[in-house]
Amino acid sequence: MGHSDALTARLAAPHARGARTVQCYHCGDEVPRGKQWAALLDGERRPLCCAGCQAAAETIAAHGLEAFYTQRTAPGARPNGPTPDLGAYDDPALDAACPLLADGVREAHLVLEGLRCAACAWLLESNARRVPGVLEISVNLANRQASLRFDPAVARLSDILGAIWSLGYRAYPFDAQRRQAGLQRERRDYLRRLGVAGLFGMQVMMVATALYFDPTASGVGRYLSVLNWLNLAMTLPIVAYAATPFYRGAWRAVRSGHLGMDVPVTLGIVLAFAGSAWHTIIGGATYFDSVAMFVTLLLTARYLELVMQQRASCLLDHATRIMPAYVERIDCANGARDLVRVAVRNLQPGDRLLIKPGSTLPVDGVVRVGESSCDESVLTGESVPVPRRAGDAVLSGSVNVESPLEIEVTAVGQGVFMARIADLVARAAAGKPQLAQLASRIAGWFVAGVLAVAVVGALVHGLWLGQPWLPVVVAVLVISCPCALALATPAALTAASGALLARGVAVLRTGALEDLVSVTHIVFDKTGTLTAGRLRLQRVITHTDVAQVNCRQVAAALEEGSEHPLATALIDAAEGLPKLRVSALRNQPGAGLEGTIDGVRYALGSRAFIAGRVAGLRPATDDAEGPEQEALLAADGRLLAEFKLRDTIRPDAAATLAALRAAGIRLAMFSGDRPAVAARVGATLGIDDVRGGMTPPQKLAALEALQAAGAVVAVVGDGVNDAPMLARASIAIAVANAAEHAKLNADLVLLRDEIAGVAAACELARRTRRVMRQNLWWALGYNAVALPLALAGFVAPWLAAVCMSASSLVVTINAARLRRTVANQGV
Amino acid sequence: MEIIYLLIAVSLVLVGLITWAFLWAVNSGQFDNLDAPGTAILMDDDKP
Repeated sequence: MGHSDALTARLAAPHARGARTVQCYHCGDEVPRGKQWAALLDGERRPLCCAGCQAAAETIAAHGLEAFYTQRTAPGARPNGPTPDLGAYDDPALDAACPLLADGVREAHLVLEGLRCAACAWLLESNARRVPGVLEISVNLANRQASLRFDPAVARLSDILGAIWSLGYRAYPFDAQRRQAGLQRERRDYLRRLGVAGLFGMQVMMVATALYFDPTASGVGRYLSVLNWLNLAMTLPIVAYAATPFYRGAWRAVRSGHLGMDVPVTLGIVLAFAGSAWHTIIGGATYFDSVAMFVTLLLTARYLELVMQQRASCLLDHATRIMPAYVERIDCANGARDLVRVAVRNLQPGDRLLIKPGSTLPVDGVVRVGESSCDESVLTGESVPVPRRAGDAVLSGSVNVESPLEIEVTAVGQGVFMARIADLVARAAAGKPQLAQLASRIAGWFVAGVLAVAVVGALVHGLWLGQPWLPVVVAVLVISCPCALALATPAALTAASGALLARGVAVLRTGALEDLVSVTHIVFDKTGTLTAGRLRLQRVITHTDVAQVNCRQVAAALEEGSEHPLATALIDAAEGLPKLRVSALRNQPGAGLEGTIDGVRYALGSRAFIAGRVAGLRPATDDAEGPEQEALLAADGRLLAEFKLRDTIRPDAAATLAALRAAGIRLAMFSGDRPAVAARVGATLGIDDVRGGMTPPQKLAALEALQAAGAVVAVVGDGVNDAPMLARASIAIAVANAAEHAKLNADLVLLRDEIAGVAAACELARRTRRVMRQNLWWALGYNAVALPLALAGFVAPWLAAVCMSASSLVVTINAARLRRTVANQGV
Repeated sequence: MEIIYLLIAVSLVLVGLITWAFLWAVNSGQFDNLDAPGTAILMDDDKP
């Protein structure tokens, strides 16, 4: 008894002492007691929390970049773990990702992690510029990306990346070839057109304003012809250059046999311009200002839509970052065992590989030597790492968790599990149901109607009444305002996408918001989607009078620096408690670890590991909720505590599902995890249709069965095993830490590590639909009044243009409400 | 009112110049990143 009292006293002491804590000057974390990390910054000695922060701070000080600390608005990035082997990025195989520009300059695009504020961007740029051979680096804080130009003869990509990593930021090149260049070109192209239309449009409007008033009375009458010619000249760049995307769109629409919005837009522009030019020559009313305003407004709407869509899709570039695929091959030439670094593409079946803990398997194989556990959650949905020993098959994409494994390659290239999934994805995507879009459905009819009215008007005025028919046709085409109608849905969708982005949901396909309204079923994955995908401490069973909090503190200290899911969970559980100092730490991979804290020797590990140290240890008892992971803590031959851990349901899952159910959506859960675990999660959340133990093809088949029964299904998933389902679903939603395959097939990507975004998106989609309906009704109602007036010849073309602008403004302001109401809710 | 001919010429030259300047700005990437340069000026690394 006296022994355990002494133990309690020794443990309680550091806990009580920790009331006054010191914060790390670099990252703001708490500085562990007794540690001496510090750096001399601006002449003062600043305390730091770890060797990583010290290295970063020293780099900053060495380069005279201390301004970072005075200008920053958020703490710095804490360097996490060691810098990977960046030398692999110099591999010529990656040259395709860093194209050689004409003048011996290479260009690379980087995705950045750890950026917090504008000072970070400055720090990163300043430090990278110091690397000889770096010509230009520009950090885009909004996209968390940088574009880089360097001289490959002087600088190596790995040096530049190293300069960024040394500050605690993580930078990866990504394959920008596919999209980035195209996106920039498209954006600049629209911006140029918009600028030209706006600048020349202003001139045209200025002149036209003078002509609106009675020209003869105001004295400009003499110059009428000159001013008309001037406007003709200044409208020409707008019609011939700025408006060409509409002509192309109209031509495409006509060729494919349906009427889009671009057809009346083009007809309006061309007719109004041609008519005005004719009147300039022979004398008469001109409508150049209508043309200019019309084009400028439409281009503005398209540009805003483009920017919003690009911003959302840029966030996805993080999913396509390039990881150099290298492995260590064991070559047994003439008796000696050599480790050789080999590119994955050069592997052959039969090769022996050494897979270190924490690394992802690049190929399928069979374990030959070693014993470890592999995290296969991305592939199968199994929440707990599965034990793998000699003779077991391991799959590419799974992560070796505990100790080194020696595997023999069984399949490479197209044969590996991941490639087969990709195949399934491609087949599933081909069968994705297309939902009709509200706007395009209505627009087609509307356009046909307007064209018919214009033709009738021309016939009536020209043939029957014998009046000039051109002003009537122009007024009909301009006032009918494809504008309000054209803006009605894009403005609402753009505002909604922007609002959702602010709440952490990236809309990658704008139409997805419209489709989301008609969804009848939502199918969820379990691991990583409804559950957090990582272990969390559930309960602690103490066996002595050592307090639970002290046990947690000791466990966290022992596990500090370990990457095992169990370790991370134990460290999380001790958050806020002062850190203890461990000495003589000894790690036994796959079993547990031992360390000395304040003179006491502790052991933490599996039941088998502790059984060797504690006599008479009883076997594990699962609680009523099913299987758990566990870690045991012992000291001086006595069991102190049992930690029970489990992959827990996300805290916001219940509320999210309740909101969806209240909206009348049927919920289902298809999981690859064991049926017992799936059933438990399903029962807790109240999901009716729960299926466990499903393989990717089975999930796809179940989804197709639902669709065949007439359901419109949205799928929320994270893993590679969900990718085929995501590709087939009407709406695919990928969660924040989803695998690349899942994200690339998604319509919506949740950017925050929470599931509430699904309910937010559904709710906003409904409101968006309502606003779109209002906008369309307004546009149609306005036209119902304005068209007959225009047809009767009561509306001058300039008045038509003003009405059209006002009508567009109403639609835009109504759409902007979507953004505001969400901001007010602040959810 | 003959001044109008001069004014028209001036306005044409001006709009031409402005358009040229705008296109130059777009092509040289002035509009590509609108957040970072604004704060970069606050950072002073030429300390005495």
